[in-house]
Amino acid sequence: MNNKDLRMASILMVIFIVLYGVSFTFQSSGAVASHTTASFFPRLVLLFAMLLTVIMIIQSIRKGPDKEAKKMDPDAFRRVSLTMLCAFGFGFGCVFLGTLVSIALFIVATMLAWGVRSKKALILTAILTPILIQIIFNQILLVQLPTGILI
Amino acid sequence: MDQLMVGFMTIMEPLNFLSVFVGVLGGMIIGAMPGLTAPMGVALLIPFTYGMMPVPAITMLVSLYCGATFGGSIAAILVHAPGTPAAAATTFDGYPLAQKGQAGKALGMACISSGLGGLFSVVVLIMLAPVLAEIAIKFGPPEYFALAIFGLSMISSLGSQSVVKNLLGGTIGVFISCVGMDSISGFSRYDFGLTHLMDGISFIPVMIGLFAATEIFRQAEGGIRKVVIDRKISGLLPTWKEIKSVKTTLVRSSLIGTFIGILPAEGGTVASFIGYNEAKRFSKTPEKFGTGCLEGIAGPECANNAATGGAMIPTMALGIPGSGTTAVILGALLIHGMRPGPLLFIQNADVVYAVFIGMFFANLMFLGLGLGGAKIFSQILRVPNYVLSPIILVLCVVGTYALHNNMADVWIMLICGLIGYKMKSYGFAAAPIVLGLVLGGLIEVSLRRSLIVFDNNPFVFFTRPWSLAFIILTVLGLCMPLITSWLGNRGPKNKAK
Repeated sequence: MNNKDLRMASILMVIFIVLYGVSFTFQSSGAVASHTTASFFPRLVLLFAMLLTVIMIIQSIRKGPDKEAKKMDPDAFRRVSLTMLCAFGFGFGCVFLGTLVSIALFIVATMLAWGVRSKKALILTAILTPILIQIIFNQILLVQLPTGILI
Repeated sequence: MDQLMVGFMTIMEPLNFLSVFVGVLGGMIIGAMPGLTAPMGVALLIPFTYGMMPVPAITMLVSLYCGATFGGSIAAILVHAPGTPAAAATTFDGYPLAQKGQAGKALGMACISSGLGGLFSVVVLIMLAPVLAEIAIKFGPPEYFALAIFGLSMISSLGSQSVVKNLLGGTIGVFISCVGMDSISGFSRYDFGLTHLMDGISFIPVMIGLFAATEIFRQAEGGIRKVVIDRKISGLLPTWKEIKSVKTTLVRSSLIGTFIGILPAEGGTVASFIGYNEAKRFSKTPEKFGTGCLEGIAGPECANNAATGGAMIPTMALGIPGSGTTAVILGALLIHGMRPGPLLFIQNADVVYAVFIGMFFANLMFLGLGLGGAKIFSQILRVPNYVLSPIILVLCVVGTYALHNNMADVWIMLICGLIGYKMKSYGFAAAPIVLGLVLGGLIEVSLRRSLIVFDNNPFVFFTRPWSLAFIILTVLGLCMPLITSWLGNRGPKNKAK
């Protein structure tokens, strides 16, 4: 499908239909007016969303296939994917290794994924960032950051 | 007047005054860096304000908003890359003037115009917001429903080019607000058995994800970027004569910016472009625009900062955000236990007026800081994005965790960042989703209350004057892009004929 908008609209339509279906599973107290049930408003919103999606589909069909279907540069794709992976890994790292260790690892991994090779930049950022976060959040704002299951 | 005096005295307390300074300074730094926007800055600052009292917390956030809106002009003038979208129009004349070796004059004019525009809008905010709140206090659920729908309809002109995509984004935001316990029936919706989702999805993780994490993923796409400042800040500041020569532009842009800011969902970006166009249209020398003309800097800069005060008017008085950034500020007000709207002026008058006075000082402060320290702020542009971006992502994670000391919020933030990145690549903007999320609760509650109170009568929205007025404005707002595009299509054909 060489039409980005049509592709996106189709995905959204499927999601909206599924969510509309899910609304039938909501509990209801029975003898009440429709607008007081839990499903009333989400269904209304989803119907409006589906209407807009239909308009988007019509617009994208009328527009036709994308003339210049730009493919993402492989390097850019690699950087974005690795950054996302590092971000989610950082989240898991906070739970298992603790925040400070995870920050240092995340900084190094992300900077390497971006192609940074300067050892000075890598080491300084990886050391200073956790220290600053510790001072600001733990000491000043008194936030107890995750220490991980190892400690 | 008494309230203003109390607000003045509150802001004069060292901690509160310091929060204004920190906010302005942080805002100027964030604004000066291309890629970092005002809503992103405000969203990232919120976690730092959790433990603060409401006055310093909210004052710091609005000061950051003012500082960032001006800060965008620094990069626009020095490196031809607007620091924030609202400074895009400043590049047209700011950069050419810097190329002529008069970067100091360009920055000085941007600073003075921004400061004056901001100060004007705060005066209007102080005068107009209480009046609007007094009118709005008489509003019932039907009026609030119509008003919120009007606010949502205005997002059709936000961010992305497509009206349908903006409205769809807003609708998705409204849908997200449905997740969790239904406030009327008490039954759970879309929690998929996850206990964390039973309380609903908090604004802050979604905002940080959509505004900050998404931006970092986009920066990753661009790779390493080093900003080279090829212009030294040289040249004298604008003379009194030069400032006097743009006084009409300043007055016009202040009015335009404040008015555009008041319109729900319209922000500094729209204001700055209209400010620039109007400055050119009324200029005696329109041919000089684009070559480094002072009016071309004063027009957009004055308008975008005037929009900050304007945007705060519907946010504080009605609970309807006037821009993407004020939507984030609205979320912060809720976190600090305040419900924006007419009652805010009765229940939290001390905080409201202190914030207004704080915003006034913020505009004065960046006027001073900008004129005196532009050289220092320009150095911020040299910080490479490969250092800054991972640090911002760390702040996103740690700041989101600090909201409820809960990792579930972190996952929501990261997922929103991922979805936001993907949606942006398909032409969807983040601001409509956030506005929809913020307004969703109000829309649902006021709609259902209206139907309950008025015996399930859907015509109640058309029989009450204020409600009808908002519905007419909504229809006009939705039709406006269609009318303008129709007129736009007609023009060239007519010319061809």
